[in-house]
Amino acid sequence: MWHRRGLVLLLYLFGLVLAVLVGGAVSRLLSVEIGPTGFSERLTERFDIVLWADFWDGLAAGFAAVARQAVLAGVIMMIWKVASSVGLIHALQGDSRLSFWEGVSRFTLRGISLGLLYLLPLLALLAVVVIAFEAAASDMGEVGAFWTRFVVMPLAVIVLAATVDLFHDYARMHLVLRQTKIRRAWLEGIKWPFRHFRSVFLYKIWFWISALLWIAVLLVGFYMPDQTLGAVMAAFVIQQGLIIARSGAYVSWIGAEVAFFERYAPSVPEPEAAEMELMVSDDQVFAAAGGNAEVQ
Amino acid sequence: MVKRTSYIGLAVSFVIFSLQQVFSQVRPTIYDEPLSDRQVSYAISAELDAQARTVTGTQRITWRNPDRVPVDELQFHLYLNAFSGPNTTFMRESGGVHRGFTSDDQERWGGIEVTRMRIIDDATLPHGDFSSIPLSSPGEPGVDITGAMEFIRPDDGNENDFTVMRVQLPEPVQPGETVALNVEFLSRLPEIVARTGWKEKPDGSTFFFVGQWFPKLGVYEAPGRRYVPADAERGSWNTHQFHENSEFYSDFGTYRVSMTVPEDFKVGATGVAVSETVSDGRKTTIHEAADVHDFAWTASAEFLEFADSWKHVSIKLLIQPEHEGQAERHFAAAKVALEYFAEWYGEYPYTTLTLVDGVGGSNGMEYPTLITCGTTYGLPEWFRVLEIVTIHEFGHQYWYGLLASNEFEEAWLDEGINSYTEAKIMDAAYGEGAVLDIPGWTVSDSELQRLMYTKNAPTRDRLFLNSWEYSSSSSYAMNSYAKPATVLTMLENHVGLDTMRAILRTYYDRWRFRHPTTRDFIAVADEVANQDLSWFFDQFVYGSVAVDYRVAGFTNNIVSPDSAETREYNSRVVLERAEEGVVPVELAVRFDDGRLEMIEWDGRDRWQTYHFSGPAKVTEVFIDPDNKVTMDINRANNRKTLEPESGVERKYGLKFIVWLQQLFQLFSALI
Repeated sequence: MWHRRGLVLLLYLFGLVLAVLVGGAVSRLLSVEIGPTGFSERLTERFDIVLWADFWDGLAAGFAAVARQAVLAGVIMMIWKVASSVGLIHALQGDSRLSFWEGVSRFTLRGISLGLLYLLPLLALLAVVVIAFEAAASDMGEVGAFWTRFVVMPLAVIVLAATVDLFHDYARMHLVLRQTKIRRAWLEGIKWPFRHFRSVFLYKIWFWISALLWIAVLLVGFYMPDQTLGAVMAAFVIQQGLIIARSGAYVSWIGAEVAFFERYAPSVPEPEAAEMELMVSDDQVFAAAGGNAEVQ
Repeated sequence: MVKRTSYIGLAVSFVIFSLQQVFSQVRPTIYDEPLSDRQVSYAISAELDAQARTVTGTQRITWRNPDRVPVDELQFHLYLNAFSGPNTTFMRESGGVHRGFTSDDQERWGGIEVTRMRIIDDATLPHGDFSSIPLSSPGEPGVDITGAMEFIRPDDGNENDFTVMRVQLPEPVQPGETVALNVEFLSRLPEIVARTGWKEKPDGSTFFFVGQWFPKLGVYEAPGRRYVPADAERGSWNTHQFHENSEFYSDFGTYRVSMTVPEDFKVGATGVAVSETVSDGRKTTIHEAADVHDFAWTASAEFLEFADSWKHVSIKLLIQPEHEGQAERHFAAAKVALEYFAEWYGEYPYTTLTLVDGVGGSNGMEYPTLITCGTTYGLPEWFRVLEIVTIHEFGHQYWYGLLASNEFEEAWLDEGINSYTEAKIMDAAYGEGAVLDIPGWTVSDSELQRLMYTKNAPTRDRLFLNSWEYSSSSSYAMNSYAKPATVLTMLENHVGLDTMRAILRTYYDRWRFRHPTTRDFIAVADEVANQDLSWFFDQFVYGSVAVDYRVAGFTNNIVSPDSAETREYNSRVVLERAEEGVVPVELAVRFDDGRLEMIEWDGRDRWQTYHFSGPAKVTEVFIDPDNKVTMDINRANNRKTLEPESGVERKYGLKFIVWLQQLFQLFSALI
């Protein structure tokens, strides 16, 4: 991660700039609507729901515009996610220091196509899961419905999304590192965890690191005092530190998966690749990938 | 010697304590003498058929004529008939949906049928010693008047409504005399609607809440009572049909009720349990209640039963097994309510309180000494809806139970005062986060009430209105709960907290066990506050005006611009009354030398201008800085500053950036 701090910073800054552009609009909106009234201090000190509701008449239209910007920013962020992923895979492969931007320019369009091939079925599957669990919950007692709605269903959604994400990671590697065609890469991505079960453990490790960092950001927001601007700023700085760490974790995550892929993926026709697999043990590769030895 | 004295003392204390326990367990109030006029008495034998979902009953009713002239008819509420078909007044008004719960399946209709009614020779029954009244049996001799029963529709003339019945008596009841009836009836319970009936749980067990279930006498208003002039020739029955938004109005009396249910059922009921016997797989529980105006009960094999006490009150909790972990929250909330009500408004005179955790649409309802609370599995501690409902329903023991106003005609007197006191107690007990208590996101009960009022068509309808005359169910709810709570908070801010408590305490002392009106409440308020408050009540109880004061603007003109030391300003502040409502308001004007000037404005004129001259210019104008005018529907326009203040935009701007970063992370994980 440290050796690729430029990439870490880039990933972090892209998200930050996008958030600042939208968040800045919120700031301006609040400044215009609330600033001249003198209620700014009151609303900084505590959440006064009545006063916020009174201001809402003036804020609603502005917030609607911000919401539209946020959706647009979300789409840009998703495209950036694809671009940065293929860029990272390209840059982190082998021992050579290949260009991140070259990867972005060469593989982003195909990466998006591949992404859509995963995204659309994923959305459909998520809808099916939610509908199925909701239907099941409605026939259960209160306790069953509670656990179904608030524990089992969210877990199922997360597991499903993570599984598809895992497929997707290795499909992208086929696309970038083996120049596989999109449909073929899609299929290889799905096959990968079944052929190389250790990749699931590798995914889990980085998934939990990222998830814990994500949760930590939330917890800081909840539990750090925010009645004064100083406290809010302190919380913001800590949160940004955690988000930078999350970007670092992401770079390392991809790096580890690339290393894993390079050890296992056939770089030659399939029959020969199968022979190669017999020559390298899973444990050796996992240790190497987890130990970050190949990630530069 | 010391030891011996201690032993004797201990023994005496033990005996006294034991007697107190026994005594307090069997008598329904803490007083020996009647607390109300006990206009009626009911002795009911009821049997629940859990399979057929019916209650078969025989009741002995006595009614004393309070008028100074003979009365030759009786009127009854038969409110289960509100759920007997799609064309009753209740169903027409509600469209078959009551607070989200529907009852539109033909198989699920309810109803009550009076199969026989006789006048019995039992008119000299003592009203005080009600426990000696024998439970009725179907075979008692008497004069059959079943043929004299007829349905009436005093409110809307709906021929399909059978919720009010009159009975012409063969002989009028003389002033002060009592008539006794033996009434046989069959109640078919509906699937729960408007908090009464049965509900099958997913595990197949059936929960019963038996409310509005027996033929109950209406209220005969004699001259001098409520709005009947004292010099009127005669009084009249005040008996309304059951409407979508109406609840209770009946006379105080005594109840002795025997409830027979399957042996494995647990029963909770109004009053105090005096006996329980089991025979042939059936359990019979007898409850007695005094100085109450209704009786309800519940039965289910699934209930878990817990007990606790507070001073003289035995608290019983019947809770669904899946909510067992929240039993302590129920007790804690009930004790908070008992404590604050006793301290602020007056004592709770009954010896029992039963909390019921119901099923389906049965929750959030009040009956004498019995309330349905309700919760959900997994309800977090930071969301205090359980506490709100428990404290709210307990509050009805005072504003509905003890001060039995007519909820058909003046619902705000119960629901509104109760919502106000609920908010006071919730906020006092649980603080700023009384409703929602998440770090950085706290909402108090009074804030919630105010929000519901100010943002929900605040000028539509008024508090003083028949419950079926509101423009919509939500308007009834707003004008009966949140708006009166906000009105009374503003009254409190006007007269002071101590005076407001004195008003409510006096209202309680003076009108408990009677039927107060809006007029009576206002009279108490005027008297205790020692001022004529008609300007207030005319606008906000009899009228429906909204309040909105705003700072239109202010200017500072330099009149002697020579130097900073000698500079003089002429400042002009313009205020506006943007709505019809008029209340006196305070105005805070701050100057750039730090001086703060407080001004009282009577708030009458549409515009008000203030001029200031001096070496300092105005930097801030703030109407109602202490937030006393809780009915102000837009506080955002109450204040203006010369230089914009910063803070909030930085706080939420930064928070928003982080929220977006988090969201981006989440969504980009999908692709």
